[in-house]
Amino acid sequence: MYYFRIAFRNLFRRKKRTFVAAGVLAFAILVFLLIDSFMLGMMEISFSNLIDFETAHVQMARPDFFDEEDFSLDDTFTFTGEEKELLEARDEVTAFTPKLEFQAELIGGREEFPVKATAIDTESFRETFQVHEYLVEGEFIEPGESGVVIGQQLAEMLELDIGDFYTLYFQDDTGSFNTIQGEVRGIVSTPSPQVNRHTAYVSREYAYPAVGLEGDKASQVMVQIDERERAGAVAAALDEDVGGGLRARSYRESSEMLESMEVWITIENYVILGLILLVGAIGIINVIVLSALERVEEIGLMKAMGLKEKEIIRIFSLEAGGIGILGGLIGCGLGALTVGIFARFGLDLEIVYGEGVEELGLPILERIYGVWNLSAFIFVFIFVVVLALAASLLPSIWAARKDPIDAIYHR
Amino acid sequence: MPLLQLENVEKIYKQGEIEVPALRGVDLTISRGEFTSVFGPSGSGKTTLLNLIGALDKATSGTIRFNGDELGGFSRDDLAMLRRREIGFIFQSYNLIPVLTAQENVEFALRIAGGENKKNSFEKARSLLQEVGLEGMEDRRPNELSGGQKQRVAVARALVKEPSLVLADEPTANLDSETSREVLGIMLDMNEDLKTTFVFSTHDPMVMDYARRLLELKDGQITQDERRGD
Repeated sequence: MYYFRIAFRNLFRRKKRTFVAAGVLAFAILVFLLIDSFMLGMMEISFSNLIDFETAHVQMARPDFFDEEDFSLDDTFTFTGEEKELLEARDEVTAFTPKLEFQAELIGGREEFPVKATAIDTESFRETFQVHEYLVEGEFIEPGESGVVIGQQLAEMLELDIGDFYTLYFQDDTGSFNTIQGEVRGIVSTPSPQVNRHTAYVSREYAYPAVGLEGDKASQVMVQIDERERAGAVAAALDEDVGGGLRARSYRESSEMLESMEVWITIENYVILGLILLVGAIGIINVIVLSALERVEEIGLMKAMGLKEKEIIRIFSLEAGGIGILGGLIGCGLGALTVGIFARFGLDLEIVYGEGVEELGLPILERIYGVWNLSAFIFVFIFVVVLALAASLLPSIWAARKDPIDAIYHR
Repeated sequence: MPLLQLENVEKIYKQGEIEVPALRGVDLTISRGEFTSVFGPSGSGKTTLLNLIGALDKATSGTIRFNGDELGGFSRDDLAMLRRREIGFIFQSYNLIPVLTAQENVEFALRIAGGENKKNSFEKARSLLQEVGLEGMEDRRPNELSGGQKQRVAVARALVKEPSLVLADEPTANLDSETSREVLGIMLDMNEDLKTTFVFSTHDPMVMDYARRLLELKDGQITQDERRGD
């Protein structure tokens, strides 16, 4: 008990030094928590956008379609009643829609641009995705109509407005070049750059005859489920159950870039932890060495009183642990405050990345909101306390091993 | 059995290649309850002698026995345990723990010596502080006490665990004569009441006046051993 009391009071003996050392740790914690929150927020919104606008939770397709991702019409399959029944039988499945995706050139006036033409079953598409909720002009396409829905950026690039004529130029099922034409029906501005810039939605009833496919053909079936966390399990179960040479995969597998990003975030967190380790350890060693030098006579006295070396080490370690706890509390407190603000008000990616935000390739075109990660708070707090204790060990041993006579008489 | 027995004790300090003898063949026996003053010129080996019998240092040669146990065979931890239970120190510069109050400084010595619970430690420390004339000052920290008051706390700290031996290195060096007399009086009372053995090193004639045994050291050797009647 007395060791705690001595250590605690010594912390406030040199308040400035203690608070500078704790402040350094707190700042490092704050940076770690903010970056962790930012990265998790980026991942969260990236995956949300991916699910809501591009991949849904689970996709079913031919393995070649997944592997090659060149939107070849050779990789289509017949979406029969059997596969539908399989999906309908699962309680987790809330909606699903077949899509036919193929490479095309979108021509508007004199301009043209390569796009992913997506023939959709409008009704089930609206149940599965949120694209229709982001209309900024016009209306969403109706079944069988000749209109197209495109993203705002694509429309601006090709100078297309509602009612303007468009042409989609592509190779059909036989390899012959064919086109479909119509009017621009709707323009959307979604948080997904892929939808905004590279996708043209047409109704399957209108597109299929030109493409040369039957109405029950699809290149993918996109499946929404009730909980994102179960996507992997549902995909695995569907993968096992589905026949006809089809495979099922979760949204995570569909974006190698996001998966790599997760790995990168983990590495980055380790790097930051390494920096905390370095900065914190230097700070703590500095404090303990200075403290021991200042208290040489006191160490000598304690040895004369009969304290063993390990007991003196304990006092210094408790002081270091106290700095760690103080730094941890301040850092986590400030971290909670800033993450709270970040989680509430978010951050415009353009502030961080400027105009180049689209070049990042992330499925984000909006504000990023911080994500609360309680485990990061607990982890980093324990980490700095353990770090402080570990860093204090050598200088504490050095202090405790001082010759009591030299220490008492300050030789 | 004597409390302390030194046989042919030598202590040599090395300063680079040069060997500096601090004690040379000292033979000394100190019994329980003695009130002994060691005097001599600076560099005569007084402090070295106190450090050796206080188990703070080890002799270069010769044997030191404390309660019959030879200290040469003790580990560092064994020596620490001996100091915490059997020996109290009083230093010239008081050496109180600055972050603890007077009460806590005294209580801490008792708690680490073991054997007393929290309540008893508190009461015993408080009572001893009252005995040394510090009633009402128990909650002051060392920086709020005068030199004499600090030395009283140091005396109380050295005595609270009722050690067999109290070693005091120039205990009055920083005190005025009136305060010195008061502090020495307290120690003499404790010596009489508790039969605690006191060994001082000093230049102060007043301390020598109080002592019942006078040891003179010169060049690391005892040149005079005078016992006085009560």
